[in-house]
Amino acid sequence: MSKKGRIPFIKAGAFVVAELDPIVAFVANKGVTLTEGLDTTQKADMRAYMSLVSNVLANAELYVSWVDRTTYEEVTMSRYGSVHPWPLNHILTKQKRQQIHRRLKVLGWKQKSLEEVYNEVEHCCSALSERLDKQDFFFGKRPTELDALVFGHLFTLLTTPLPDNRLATIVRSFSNLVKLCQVIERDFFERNNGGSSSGNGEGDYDKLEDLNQLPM
Amino acid sequence: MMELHVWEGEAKYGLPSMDLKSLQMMAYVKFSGAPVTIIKSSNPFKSPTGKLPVFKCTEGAFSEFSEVTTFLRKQNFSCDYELSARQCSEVVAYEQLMLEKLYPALIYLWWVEPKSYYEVTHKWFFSNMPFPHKFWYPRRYHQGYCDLINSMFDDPDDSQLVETELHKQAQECLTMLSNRLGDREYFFGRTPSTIDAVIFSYLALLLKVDLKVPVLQNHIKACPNLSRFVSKAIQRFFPSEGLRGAGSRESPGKDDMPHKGRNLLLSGLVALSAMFGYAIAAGLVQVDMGEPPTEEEYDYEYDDYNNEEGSSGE
Repeated sequence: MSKKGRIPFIKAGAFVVAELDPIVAFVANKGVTLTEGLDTTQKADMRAYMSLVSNVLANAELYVSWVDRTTYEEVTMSRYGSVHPWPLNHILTKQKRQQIHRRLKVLGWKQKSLEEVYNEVEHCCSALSERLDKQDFFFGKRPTELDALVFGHLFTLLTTPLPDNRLATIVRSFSNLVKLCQVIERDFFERNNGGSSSGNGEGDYDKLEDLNQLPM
Repeated sequence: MMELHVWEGEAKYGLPSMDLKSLQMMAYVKFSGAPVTIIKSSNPFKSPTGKLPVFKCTEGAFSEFSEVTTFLRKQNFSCDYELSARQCSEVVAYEQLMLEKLYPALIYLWWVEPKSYYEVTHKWFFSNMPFPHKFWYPRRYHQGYCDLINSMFDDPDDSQLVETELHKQAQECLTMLSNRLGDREYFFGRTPSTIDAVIFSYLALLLKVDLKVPVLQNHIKACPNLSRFVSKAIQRFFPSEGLRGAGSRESPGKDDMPHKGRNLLLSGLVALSAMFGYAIAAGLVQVDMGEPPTEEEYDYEYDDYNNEEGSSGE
């Protein structure tokens, strides 16, 4: 459905817009923006932190999913291929793996060890945690696209079960980041479900409070 | 005992080094005041690890900027003493911003865009590197960077689209940096920090070298605080390069002329001799070797011979 096959995408009338930056720009064209209260310095800072998340967290996720042998065999292969019939599931998964490997190689990530990747994630979360400090959101009382981006990545890292839960452990060690995710989940996602958390349709994901009770 | 081996600079541009990582490391070393010996070279195979740049110290040899800064900080040579924890996190974020938005445009303009690559970058590396590395080393970088740019776009063959998109991202980034710097001397106040070293390296390479696609150079010139930032840093921390650059900029053409004339003459002579030699070998031109006999001498010998024949025959 989406141009170039990219998700996520939104469909508004005749328009189909994919990926975060174009969606934000499209919505801004309609007069809706989250950054009207920010001055130029804060907007630059916000963009810088968004680059940090895109460069580090996104590439670390790709590395763990597609380069780390254990995770690839136990999780990624079945997850990626599950929507296609045999033999497409094998072929497409292998193709995607080669593409990701090539991309990570030119970016200098494929050569890193798993330990170095975990250190990069920790360094990144430390910088984000430092910036967030005791505030509700990164830039004041209202969330911005940076909060949305951070929520997307951290929520995934916290709630996706992997053979090695190091990533979730690293994120959980920054309590203000976990709190940010909980607040966003509560204020923006639970409202749609009418407060219910189990079984039916959109509520079908692990809630952050439940996960906090799992052994670390 | 600390040594930093870096790529050579270019006097006519007033650049301390022609390489991004080398510039970053040199800038950090100068900003922090660490007693490091800087050794310039255009032969990576002469360096301790076979690569440039490399920082050699008691703990080993480092090739990455982050490794160098971590080591120097441990030795109490830090640029970031005055920064708060939040500002330190901003340093991390801005490094990634430049990596995402400015780095692709920089390597595209230097190493991928054909006119600039062949007429500026390749030319410089070819004329400065030793034989035989000059024939294959720059091309390897060119190939690597082409792969990087190709991996970023769905349709990398559409060079117009690629160039437009890269310029757009880079210009947005430069504008953000300019807004962030404002009227300040350095990004976080009166003394330069790690982020100033990184920003300096990007801006110097884009501003000081006259590439064939000058879009970003013009953008930086249009942000006076960014151009000032670069010139002041060079003046203060790399004074020898700054002076040489200012001097040779006035007469860029003259240096080339004598060599050009001589080379032209030599090539002409070689071509002429080659053509002449071929003409002789093919018989198109005949050259008499030695003095030709005069007419009297020739007849005299012939008459003698005939007389002898006649007398012996009868």
